Amino acid sequence: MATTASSYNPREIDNTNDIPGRRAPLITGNQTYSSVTEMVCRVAEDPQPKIWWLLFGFSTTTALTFLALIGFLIYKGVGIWGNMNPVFWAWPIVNFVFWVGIGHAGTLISAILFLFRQNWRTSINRAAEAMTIFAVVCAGIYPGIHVGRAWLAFWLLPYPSLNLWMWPQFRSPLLWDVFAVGTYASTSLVFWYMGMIPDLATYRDRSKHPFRRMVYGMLCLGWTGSSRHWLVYEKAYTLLAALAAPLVLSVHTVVSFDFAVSQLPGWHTTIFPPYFVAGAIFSGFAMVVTLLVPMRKIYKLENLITLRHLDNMNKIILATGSLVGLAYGTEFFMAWYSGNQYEGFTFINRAFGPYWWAYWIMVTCNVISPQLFWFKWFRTNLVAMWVVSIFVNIGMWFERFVITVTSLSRDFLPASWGYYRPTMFDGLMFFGSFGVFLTLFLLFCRYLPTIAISEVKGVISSSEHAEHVQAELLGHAHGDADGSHGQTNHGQTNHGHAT
Amino acid sequence: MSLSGSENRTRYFRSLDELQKTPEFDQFLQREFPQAASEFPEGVSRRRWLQLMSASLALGGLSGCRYYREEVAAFVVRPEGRVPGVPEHYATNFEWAGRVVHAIVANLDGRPIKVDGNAEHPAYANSQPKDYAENKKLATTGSDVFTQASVLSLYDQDRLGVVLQRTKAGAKPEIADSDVIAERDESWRSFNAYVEQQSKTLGEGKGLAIVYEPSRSPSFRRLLAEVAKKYPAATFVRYESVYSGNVSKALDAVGAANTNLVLDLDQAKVIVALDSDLFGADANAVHHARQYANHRAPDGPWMNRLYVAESQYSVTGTAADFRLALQSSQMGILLRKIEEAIDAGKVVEDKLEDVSYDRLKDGDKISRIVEAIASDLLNNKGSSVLSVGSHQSLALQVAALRINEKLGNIGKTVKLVETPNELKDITSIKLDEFVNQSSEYSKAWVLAPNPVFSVAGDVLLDGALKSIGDVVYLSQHDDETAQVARWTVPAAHPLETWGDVRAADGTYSIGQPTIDPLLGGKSAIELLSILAGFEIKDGQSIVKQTAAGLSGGTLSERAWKEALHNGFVPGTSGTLYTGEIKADAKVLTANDLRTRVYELPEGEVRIGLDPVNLEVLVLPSDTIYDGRLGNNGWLQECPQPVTKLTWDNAAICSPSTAAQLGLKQGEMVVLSLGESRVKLPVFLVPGHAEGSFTVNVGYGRTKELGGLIAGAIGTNMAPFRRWNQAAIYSGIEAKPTSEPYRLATSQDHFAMDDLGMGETAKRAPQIIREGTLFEFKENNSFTEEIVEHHFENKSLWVEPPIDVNHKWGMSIDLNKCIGCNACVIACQAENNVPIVGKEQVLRGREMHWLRIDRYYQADVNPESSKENLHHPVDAKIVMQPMACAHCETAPCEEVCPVAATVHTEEGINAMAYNRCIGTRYCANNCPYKVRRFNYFNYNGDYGYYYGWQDKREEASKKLQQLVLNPEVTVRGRGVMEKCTYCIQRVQNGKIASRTKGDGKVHDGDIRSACQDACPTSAIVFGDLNDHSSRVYQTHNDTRAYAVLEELNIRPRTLYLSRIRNIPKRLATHSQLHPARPGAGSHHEHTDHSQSSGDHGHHS
Repeated sequence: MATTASSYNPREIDNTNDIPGRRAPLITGNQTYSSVTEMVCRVAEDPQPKIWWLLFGFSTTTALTFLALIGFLIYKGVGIWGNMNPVFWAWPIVNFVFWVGIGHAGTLISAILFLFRQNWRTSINRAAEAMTIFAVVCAGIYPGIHVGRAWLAFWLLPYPSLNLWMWPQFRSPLLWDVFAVGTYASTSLVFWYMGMIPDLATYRDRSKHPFRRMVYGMLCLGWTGSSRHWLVYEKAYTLLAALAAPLVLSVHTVVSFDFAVSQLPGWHTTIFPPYFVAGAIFSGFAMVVTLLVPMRKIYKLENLITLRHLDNMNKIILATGSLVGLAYGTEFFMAWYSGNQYEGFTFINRAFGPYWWAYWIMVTCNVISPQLFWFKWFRTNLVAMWVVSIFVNIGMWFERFVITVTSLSRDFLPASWGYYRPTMFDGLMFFGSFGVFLTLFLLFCRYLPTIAISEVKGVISSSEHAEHVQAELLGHAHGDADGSHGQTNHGQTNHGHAT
Repeated sequence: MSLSGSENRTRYFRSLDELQKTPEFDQFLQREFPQAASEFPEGVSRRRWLQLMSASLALGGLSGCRYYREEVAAFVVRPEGRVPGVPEHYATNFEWAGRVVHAIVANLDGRPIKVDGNAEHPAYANSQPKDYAENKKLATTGSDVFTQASVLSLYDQDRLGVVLQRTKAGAKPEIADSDVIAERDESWRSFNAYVEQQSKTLGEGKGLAIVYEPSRSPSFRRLLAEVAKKYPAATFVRYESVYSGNVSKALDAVGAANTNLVLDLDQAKVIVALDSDLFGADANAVHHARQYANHRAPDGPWMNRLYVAESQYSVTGTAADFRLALQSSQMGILLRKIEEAIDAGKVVEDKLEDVSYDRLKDGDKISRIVEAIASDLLNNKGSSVLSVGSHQSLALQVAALRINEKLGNIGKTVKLVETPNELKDITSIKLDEFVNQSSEYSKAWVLAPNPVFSVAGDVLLDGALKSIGDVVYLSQHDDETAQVARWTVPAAHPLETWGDVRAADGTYSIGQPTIDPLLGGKSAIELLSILAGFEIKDGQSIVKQTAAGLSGGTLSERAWKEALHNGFVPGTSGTLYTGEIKADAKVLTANDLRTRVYELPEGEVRIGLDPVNLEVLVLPSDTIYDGRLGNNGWLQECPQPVTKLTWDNAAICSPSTAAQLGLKQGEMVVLSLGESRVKLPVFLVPGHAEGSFTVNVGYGRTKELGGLIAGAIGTNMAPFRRWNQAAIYSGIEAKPTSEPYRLATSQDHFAMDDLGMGETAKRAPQIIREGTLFEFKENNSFTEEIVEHHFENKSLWVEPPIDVNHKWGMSIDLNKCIGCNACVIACQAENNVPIVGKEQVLRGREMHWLRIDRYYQADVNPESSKENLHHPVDAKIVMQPMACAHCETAPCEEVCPVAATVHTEEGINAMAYNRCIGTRYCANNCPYKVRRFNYFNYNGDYGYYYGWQDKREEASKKLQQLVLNPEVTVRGRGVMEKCTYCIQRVQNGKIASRTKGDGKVHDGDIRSACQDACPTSAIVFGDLNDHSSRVYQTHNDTRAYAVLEELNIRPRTLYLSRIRNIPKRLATHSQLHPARPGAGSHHEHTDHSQSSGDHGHHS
């Protein structure tokens, strides 16, 4: 039972080993169905730890400041930011792309890894999806308030305008953006919510307070766990996953079109779609690591989100980070190989011009720091991976800064060159968006199932199977797992062994 | 309705009086007023509200040019020929910023909104291009920044509206509420009572001093003479803030007293300007620029050649074919050498030398320059000009006259126009004498603008006026001089008053008001007649009297009306002085001690830096003149032509001088000369003379006295100046400080990193294409060979037609453009372009639709390339006006998500402001970066200083909104804007062609504001479908090119490359051997699209 699980010290077992022919367990601690339920539900049912309140107080303050600043911005004008001529787009767009990028990991983990039957996704997909939604919320704020007349931002939508009888201008990538981000946000939201329905039913069943029961009852749409429900659910989930998978690629591709379609040197390049997608996955996974490392510790979820999960994510960070590094190199090569004088100068200017510091922060954080993950110690050391993940987050923000600001600051005519400096409003509002993000995430931890209970149960069998391996590794035989297999086991179990 | 003339007011209120007697009105008064007063919104003070109301009342009833004074309300019956909303144009003339302006004022519904040059005025008509005679529509007028901005000064929100009375100097004035007409009248009544009481005690005028500014107004001079007659014991004190007296002294000295020196550059094949800013600071700058530009076509019969030697970098220097950077204090030595060479009479043939000019040693450079200049002058006797800057010493002025005489230029290119001197009976003293003997005076009338601020530091005018006590001062502002005046009388703006001027050629020109004094001011002539107690007190009658006197007694009403209509009285130009020029130094030796003054200094010319003999040149500003235009926001924000500096003055010097003295851009320097010291920010300009600083005057007003715009801007140079030195201060010391200072420039200043500078140097020759005349003669299509050949510009899709009926296009001839900024301000005035203030310029958010890009060019010597980058010695400056080029495949249009920027079917890239939501994507995608974004509500909160800290009272900015052109949408916050080719003028021109013309738009019918303002006719706008139009011809010129043509955006604005008419002996290595990467691959570039992987060039 739960006691067995909690008495187990996760440090004693290393499930990150890949011994050929033997599967390391995905989750540790001899979990049973009920212990998993217990562990996850406890997060929402127990009183929140002190740190939650501390963080929540901090993040809501920041988020409210952000909202107040948005009000001031709309009152005063976008001139309170540092945007200038020629750097018409600056921090707000950098932040937008940054947040959209972060919003990539969730759907990638839940849709693509699902379709590829990567079972290690089960412990992390829920939190990652939540993160996606919240990041997209943060991202979505920026384009809306970034325009000069925010109250007319709805003109970007293709609605039948009675006054003008006109559509938006469909050749503009900004309009594609509206569609891409809109589709992505709605699909991710539906996907996330649908995945939560069985778990919300569990929450409902365990709720003691009638109000709580009512709310969860409404949210879980009358889920009873019947075979018919599971059948429909599984089909729908797979279909949605298939629908969401291409969106992972499309959304950042379209975001990259904002840059690639324009003719500005440094933006006008065909490498942007794959490069942006790789960067987005890179930053998204980094953000998942940044969030999950403290979360599993605070909520004692180490047995569900094990080092193996983190190790796998770090491998992806390493892979995508290297892709990003390759893209940087390719850009430089093309700038030289194309023979285009403007392109050539833009890249030399990035590395050695007035914004050299931003470029080298980007390279250090994005290309060099993830290379540490070649070493297993870094991939499995919580502090080290957390630090690297923060570095990656910083680096990816700077990547967008470098692309947006340095390209704009020096384009074709030297007479119109300029040097951009942010104002305190740029800083406060970027900081404020983290407040919104964190507030939403903390509320998510507090009220919603942070781990997909039903899906984790699907992979328990594999951990059971792996018990012998564990036993061998630990050098002693484990007691029999207390497994009441009373709950309905769904289709995923069949694939439990394919780690 | 007039706010000043008392008759009008009584009439206006007579109806109110009647109204007042009714019980309804009584009730209305008692009930409504207190209620409304208590409901005023916060932020708009009662005073401002009333001021606005009175101003709008004034405007509501006004008509330009004074119809009938009785008209106080809206027209019940519309006067004949007057259509509301259609601007009327009036000719007027006035003195402004030390020069004479012959203007046509566009007056819309009673308020002047635009001032342009008067093409019909003889001063301009004489220098019209030759095709003008055939087609008057092709007339080019041209003006300068001062003229263009003059209309904004009319709506200056800090102007004085009431007679201020101070019990003692520096005291707070007993201020009547200028917004309450009754109180304002009261202030005038008490002033009139004071004058009346004074006139009884004045008697002969003993103890009375009248401080005046030398004027070219016959009426002013006549009145001054008459005042002198009435008060024979009174003293007249002349004061010029910008001293140019050495020119007239020199004319006196050579025997041509009472003449006016006028250069006729139209006949000049060779122009030598020594420290002479012919196209900038010179009072006849507009004429000079026009005449110079008439002969800048490289394929014309002849092209003039302009030599400039100067220490500052002036617009004339940028236009020069050859420019030498030399300390102002060495100009005399150079002149001596030139004169000696001319005397020697040796003409050296211009041929290719073994060593190019730039690789010579400094001393050899000078001898080659002197040879070249002297040879050119000798070859062009009678068709050359040698001009010396008016701030140079008397000796140089005399020498210039002497040389011109030797060359036979006098009477041909250098005209001495005889001018009647009404003041010959007046003995006037200079201001310093007046200050020294101030105890002898008990009364002073100060008619010069703010002398306390602008006077040299060693003349303690402030104390003198304080001790006199009884001071009357005519001023537009409550300024520094007003602090020590007992009475400060509000001065009217020239557009509000009657006046007259004598043009450079002597033509008598009348100034008529286009609006009644908004705030009830008086002109100087009106005040003089008040002082003298003359019967005729109103300006119109005074001017009429003068005009009648000039025409020999009587002036028929018809002749008067005609003169008003034309703006001048024909046939009144002065005769040319044909007498002897007694400029031989020997003749003068017999004279008194002044002899030595006329001798040019001995010695050798040094180009390089001599840290011992540093100098500073103190000059009027190219934008705010001597500071009197400081409260004009357009001028404060107008980037100074070379530095591109706004809202500040600085110590301008060359980078190598700065490096040797340890000075850095953006840090302060302390300049000191004896006791005088001044701290200024350093600004580096390559090509500025070594060992020399240039500083503009007019800045450094205090926040309290400077006004909303001019207050707390820059550093005051007046205390540094010495009375007996005009502008050049030698032997100064310059000490660096590490104190930082942020200068707001509209273009990246020189302190750029190596990388950026290297790239700029690489790109500039492609952006501003340039060659020499000898190259052009060999190969007139070199312009297209300057860039490497690129893929053929092809479209992948069928483009929509954008040349239906008309195909608008523009061309800018860089060979004519002098970078004077007139177009920039004209565009601002025409298109309601707001000013944004220093803080916003620092953020790079200036709103000018038309900017003038400035690039430095220097020969990079391969041996010292890095050093050269930092300290280019012979740096040249090239200017390029840049505005929306109306690309046929406009990149901005494709990326706008809401279709706010679209193409018209005539090819204009139009902005639908109402549709714009401000994504700013268009601006990112614009390769020229000519789009401007309203980051704040710049136009709504008219004034300056925006940003989130701005807490100014908004209503105080509203007076300036009267300057707005109702033809052009006023853009709000969050909207993108840019040049529209003056689409309002295009539309009006098309409508006019249908209603008034033959239905066809002829070349010259539609002209953009910048084109109208351009004194050199460098800007040509027109219809490219009309193959006889000038713009069609310029577009097909061999010099025409598109900036960034390789982007396949097909701009409709083309540039004509610049051709320097430099002698081969003075050409630099790169001018002699220009890099032409595109040469030789003409016929290949069409098939490059097939040879993939190749970049289209084979060099």
